[in-house]
Amino acid sequence: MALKTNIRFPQRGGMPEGDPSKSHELLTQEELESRGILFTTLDKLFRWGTGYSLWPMQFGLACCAIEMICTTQSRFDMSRFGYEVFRNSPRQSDVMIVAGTITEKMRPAVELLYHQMPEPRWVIAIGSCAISGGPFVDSYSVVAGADKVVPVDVYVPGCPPRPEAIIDGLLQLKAKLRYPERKTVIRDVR
Amino acid sequence: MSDRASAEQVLRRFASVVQPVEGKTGVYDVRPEALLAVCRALLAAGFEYLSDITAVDYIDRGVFRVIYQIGNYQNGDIIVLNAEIPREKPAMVSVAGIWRAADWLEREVYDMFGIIFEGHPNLQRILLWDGFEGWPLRKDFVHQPSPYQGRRRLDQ
Repeated sequence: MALKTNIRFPQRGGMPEGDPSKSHELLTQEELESRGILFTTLDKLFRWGTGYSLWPMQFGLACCAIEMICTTQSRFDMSRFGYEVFRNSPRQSDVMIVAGTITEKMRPAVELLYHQMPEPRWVIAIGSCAISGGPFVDSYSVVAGADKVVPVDVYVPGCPPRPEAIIDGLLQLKAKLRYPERKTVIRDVR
Repeated sequence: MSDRASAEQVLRRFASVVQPVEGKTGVYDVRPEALLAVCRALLAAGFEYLSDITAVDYIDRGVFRVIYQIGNYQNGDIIVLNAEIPREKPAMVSVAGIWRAADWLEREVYDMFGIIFEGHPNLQRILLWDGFEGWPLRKDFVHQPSPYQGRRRLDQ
């Protein structure tokens, strides 16, 4: 399936014609990889592996956590992508899924959990409340979004978002990990 | 309907301070100074389950109404006691010595309405954090949103 984007993805398969050393065509790293030449750095290899084995933290704040739980169960099955290992300890996890409303009383706990996670670490904000405070933003006890507390990498809108959207958010995070130089994240489920 | 009769039998002894609410079954108005004696008698009659304590702010009449829902496990009866206290002096007697469940319920009412429950073992805020100013469920509570809160129009 062809993607309608400005970035041109070369067709997969096969080496270019002729001897590559005599070719005058300059190939980018992505084009070389698409033709079967592995040209990588240790950092890139690490990010490639990390993108397939994110360990989220088992941590829910409100009703969006129910959708996060559904995402892990058999109907939607996040483990297809390698993300099913929800850890109970922040020391063992590298993705914090902020699923729900952050109240002012919960803010120090969320901050502490984020700082207890080892680096590298990422944050996904799920639902209207975690993005901006949602319908409760005028309230006396609600923090206006997770990005007031911790740096957020991926926002998943919805109230609550469907499990497909949560999976899509994690795949966006994977794409962000694999191509950190891109300004716009293009979905890449390879 | 022996269950309802038993609640009425208990409360008939307090006829001077307990009045049944017109048109409602199992709802009673109680004078706040008599609440402790009424609750002790209800517990002795088998009302062992304090389901909820909540309050309503009637700012027009200048009173808080504290509402107790008390259940009886033996016959499934649930009665409601209403006690009204003045808004200027929101002090109420604590029933935490009668039902242990009243501990957190009274803390929540204190947290939201600022009603002081005299005799409570540990009257602190339970839902909001220490240092929160004001009583948010009072009708005259005005919230000052922080610069990061609130809906703002982009063209203003």
